[in-house]
Parts: sequence; structure tokens; C-alpha cells
Amino acid sequence: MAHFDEMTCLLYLDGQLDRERATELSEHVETCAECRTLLAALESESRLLRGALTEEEESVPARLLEYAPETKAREAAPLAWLVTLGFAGAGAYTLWSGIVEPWQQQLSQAGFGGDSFLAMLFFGGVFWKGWETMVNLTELLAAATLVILAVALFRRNSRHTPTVAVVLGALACVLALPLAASAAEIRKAGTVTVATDEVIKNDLVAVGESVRIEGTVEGDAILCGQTLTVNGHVKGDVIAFGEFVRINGQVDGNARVFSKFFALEGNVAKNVSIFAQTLEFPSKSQIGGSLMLFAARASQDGRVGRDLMAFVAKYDLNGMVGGTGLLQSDRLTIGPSADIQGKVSITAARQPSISEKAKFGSGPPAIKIETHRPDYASPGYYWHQTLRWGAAFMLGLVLALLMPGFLRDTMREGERYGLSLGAGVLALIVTPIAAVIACITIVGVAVGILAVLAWGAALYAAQVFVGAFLGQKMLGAADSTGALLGRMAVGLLVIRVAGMIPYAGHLAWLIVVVFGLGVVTLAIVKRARPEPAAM
Amino acid sequence: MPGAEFTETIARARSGNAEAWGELYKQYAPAIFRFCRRALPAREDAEDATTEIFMKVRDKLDQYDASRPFTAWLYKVSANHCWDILRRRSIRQDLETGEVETLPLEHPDPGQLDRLMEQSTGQQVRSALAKLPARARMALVLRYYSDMSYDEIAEALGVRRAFVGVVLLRARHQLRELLTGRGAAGAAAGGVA
Repeated sequence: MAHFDEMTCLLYLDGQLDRERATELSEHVETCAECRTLLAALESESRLLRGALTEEEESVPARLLEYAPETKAREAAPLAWLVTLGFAGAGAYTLWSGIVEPWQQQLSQAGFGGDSFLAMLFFGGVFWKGWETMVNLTELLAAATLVILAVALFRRNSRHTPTVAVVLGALACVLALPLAASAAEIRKAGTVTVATDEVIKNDLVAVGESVRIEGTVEGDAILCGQTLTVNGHVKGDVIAFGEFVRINGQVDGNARVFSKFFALEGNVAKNVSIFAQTLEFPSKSQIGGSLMLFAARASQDGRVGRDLMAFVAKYDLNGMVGGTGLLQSDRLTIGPSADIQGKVSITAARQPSISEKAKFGSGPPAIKIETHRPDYASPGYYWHQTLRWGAAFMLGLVLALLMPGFLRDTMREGERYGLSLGAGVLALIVTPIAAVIACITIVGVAVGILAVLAWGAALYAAQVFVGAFLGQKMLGAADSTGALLGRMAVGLLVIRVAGMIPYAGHLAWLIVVVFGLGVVTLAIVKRARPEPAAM
Repeated sequence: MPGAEFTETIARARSGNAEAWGELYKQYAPAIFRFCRRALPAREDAEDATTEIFMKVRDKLDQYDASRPFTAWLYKVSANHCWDILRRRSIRQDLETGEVETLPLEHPDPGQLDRLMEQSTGQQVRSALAKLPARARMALVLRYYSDMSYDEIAEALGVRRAFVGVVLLRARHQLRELLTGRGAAGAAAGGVA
């Protein structure tokens, strides 16, 4: 007779066979050694499983033994809320007094005051000089870790309410930010034109393929489109997102321009900040306040009333600057009609060409030649790297304590390499674009700015997720938070060392950022999706 | 706890007596924690789940049918809770197990299987269990830790009664692969999903 299969044997052992079939099997086994061995093996497997599962190799946590969930816990909840909201409030105050206020002061000294808080955050944040020191983030993160640890200790008693409270506290902070919404006239069309004799009393928001302002706008003008031209008079600020932007008329406020090509041929009374591929700033035009400039190419003959701060790859400077000049450029040419009255400091990749006829009111410029290569010989470089590793680890610690489930989700998503990298590339490119689009609508400005901030945070945090994933890959799955943190530390170290390799290091960082963004995106998407149906 | 005394404790706990509730909790919390520890991927999850399960139990104590064993009911509530957690976490679950179920099972060499069982330690089995896909792990825990019947397992996992044996046998196969080191890579990818 044929042997019985494994399934039947298991059902027999578990008493799941009907009597007839069971008798058949027990009779067969008496004469069949092979089936007998199989039965015995299955039985010892059951024993092994039972033994392994019921063995008390690990003690039950004391807090579970002491604490019976009952009404007491419910009474404690409001206290938990108060404490966490207190933490959130204190955190927000620290953030305000420690970072935002000094920022605002610094900016108003640089001629960037008077804007709404959000506009300052968006346009001013990029120019903040303190970013370099902030990169370490060590101190800030240390403080944050302390707060989180305190919250985590508190969580030992009542685990979930405070987390919710923290989130709500953060949300409250966000909502408390003054929204820049005000009365505005909104125009959307293929071609938007404000005619020569037309006067718009409010702010103007214009979206169209081509936007022209020939008349007068008494408030701010927020313009978005392919070709944007201001020939008329804007009494407030001009904020422009476009491919080709021209300001030929008069702007009484500030101008903020994001564009591929920007020509400033008119007058701007206050400050100007520009992100552009190419800037043209001919001699007849002028800026009353300061100019901050990020561009690939710029030629400047016009006049800047106050300070100039420029980061331009190829820069021809031939105009007048009333204040100081802080210039960073790969190829800098200062022409004969240049006249800079304040101090000038230049950071360049190669020796700038400076005309003998150029005038410098406060002495010759301080020139620093800086190649982009890191200084491997200096111990400071390694100390710096160590600090950065520490900062990243601290962030990881915070993440592991605050959202362990999310961290585990990201590590699971990491197993799908291709998908993660794809999602990462998408998130890397799409988020800023979506944010800029969101900024076009006034209400969307807050959303857009938050998206950009979250995106920036995710760029930095990417290494933490990748570090944890990498550590786990190298050392095996972690079964406790401590073990996970250890693996994360090792993973981060590997990333840090890989990033120090000349040339290839940049590629390593790019992969880390893309992969990290990818797993974060996938984990968020997964959480946002509805629960799967029961099987 | 002897029968009559225990029934009384339950009755007192039902009527809101904190002392009786504390007694019940103290007696069963360690077993439920161990259950969660086996069923869920991380220790923190098990701690949280234990607290949550007892909150549920406290609310549902009225629904407990005193004529049936208390532990069986307790494990049923725990199994549902843990299974909910796992399901909420892993969307890919269905896909994974769906694929596995269509693969034919290889008939084991009885002698080889016997040797494997003799050589494997409890520690090895536990770490292999931790790497199993959620449903396989859960099925083994329900059967060999909680001593659940096939009917109870079917109800807890939401599968047909006739399918429980298949789930258990597949879980054993996956476990064996991990123990022999063959399935390490594949199961790690499925991991705690």
C-alpha cells in the first residue's frame, strides 16, 4: 500500500482525521517504517515548537506586572495632555526665541524686514548665514532628544495619548502661524493684461501663459506663467515664478523672482532676491535696497543701493554697489565701471579677473580661493564628520523612540530596492515642483512652505532610514529598540565613510538620499492606504 | 485558581471591583505578554499590545461565557487583537501568502526531518519563528502556545476550517527551511510582514 502523505499524518496527530481514516493510518504504520518515522518526526517537531514557544526565556517587563489598565489610567490622561502640550509650547517658544527671532533681526538688518513671517521663512530662510553651523544640528538635536526622552518616560505610564497630544500640539503651532491670506484680485487666463490706464486697488494674483502689467497695482503682484512682464507700476512687492521674467517698470516694494531668464531693466525701490539661470541687469536700472542673487550666469551693470550677496557660477560685475559685497563665484569678472563702496569679500574657485579701473571704497577685496575638494589631511575634517555622524544618530534615536513602527515600515519597504529608488527619484523631483505650484495660490503658500520644509527634513533624515536598513542588512534583524539603534549606528557609520570617498562619495550620498526618500515615501503611502480586506 | 473561587473573581471583576480585576490581571498578564511576544515582531509592540488587550478584556468581560474556559476566551481576544495589528501593518500579506499557497509542498525525507528536529534548539526555533511571515507565525503560536483547536484557529485567522491544516503544515515547512538555513534569504525579505 502507498505511504500516507505528510498532511494526513499531521491531521492524524492533531486528532483531525475521521475514525475510519485514522484506523487505516494506524494499521499502516504498524507495518511501514517510513511512515512511522515521519509520524515520530512530526511529533517531535510539535514538541519542539511547544517547548520553544512556552519556554520562559525572557522576563515579563516590570511595568506590565505592576500596572493593571483600569480607570486610573483614564484619570491620568488629561495630565498627560497638559504636560505634552506644555512641552510642545516650550518647544515652540524655544524655536521662536532661539531661531526665528534672531533670524528675523538678522534679515531686517540686511534689509529684509517688514515681510510677513511666511514670506520671510520662504525667501529669507535660504539666505540665512547660519545654515552652515546648523548643518551639524548637534545642539538642537540634543535638546530635542532630552524632550523626547522625557516624553518617552512619560509614555511608560500612558502610552498613546501623549503621542497624539504631541502631534496636535505641533499642528496647533502650525495653525498659529499667521497666514498670508488677504484680499486679492485673482486673474487666470491664457493672457492676463493689466491695461495702461487700469488701477488695481488690492493685491493681484495673476496666472497665465503670458502676464503683462502695463497699469498700476497698489498691492503686491504675485505672478505665475511663462512670460511675465511688468512695464507699469507695482506699489507693493512683486513675486514672480516664470520662464521669462522682465521688470521694466517701477516696483516700490521688494521683488522676488524665480525664473529661467530674468531681465531687470526698471527700478525696484526695496530689496531683490533672484533665483534664475540667467540674469541681465543693465546699466540704466537700479535697486534701492539689497540684492541677493543665485544664478548660473549674471551680468550686472545696474546699481544696487545697499548690499550685494551673490552666488553665481559665471558673473560679470560692472555696476555700482552702495554697501558691502559678498560674492561667491567660479568665474568672476569685475569690470572697469564697477564701484563697490563697502567691504568686498570674494570666494572663488579660481582667481577672479578684476579690472584696474574698478573702484573699491573700503579697500581692496578679500579674496579666498576655495576648491570644493575636502581637506583629507586635516583632523578637523574627521572631527566634523564624527559630529555629523553623531547628529544623524541622535535624529535616529528620536525617530526610533517617537515612531518605531514607522521606522520598521521603512526598513521593510527598503527590501524593494527598485521601487524604493524609483519612489525616491520621484519624491526628490516632484515635491519641490508641487510646493511651488501650491505657492501660487495664496492659501497654498502655507502648504507649499510646509511641504518644502518637510522635504528638506526628509532629505536630511534619509540617511537615518538608510542607516537603519543597512545596519539590519549587515548584522541581521534587530529584535529590540536597543539592537536596532546599534545597527543604525553602524549603518550610519558606513554611509559616512562611503561619503568621504573622493568623487564616488557624492554618488553614494545621492543614492542614500534617493533611497531614503523612497522608503519614507513608500511607508507614508502604505500608511495612507486603507486597511486591506480580511483574507 | 480553583473553579468556584475563580468564577467569583470574574463576577466581582465584572461588577467593577478593582481588586478582583487586579487579581485577574496579575494572573494572566505574563501569559498574554508571552503570547504577544511570540506573535508580534518587537518587544515594544508586545508590551503595548498586552496593555491594550487587557483594556479590551475589561470592556468585554460581560461577553465572556463563564461555562467555557477563561484562558481560551482570553487567547481568542488576544489573537484577534494581534492579528488586527499585523494585518493593519502589512498590506502585502495577502500577496505573500497567496503565492505561497499555490506552491506544491515537497514531501520530506522522514529520517532527515527527524534529525533536524533532534538537532534544533528552542532558541533556534524562536529566532526562525520571528522571521516567518505573519500568518504562518500566528498559526503556529495559536496552535502550540495557546493550544487552540483547528476551529478556533480558523476563526481567529479568518480562514476556512479545512484550510487550517494546510496553513500549519506550510508554516512548518517554512520553519524547517529557516532551520536548515535554506529559506533564510527569502523569509528575511518577507520578514516580519
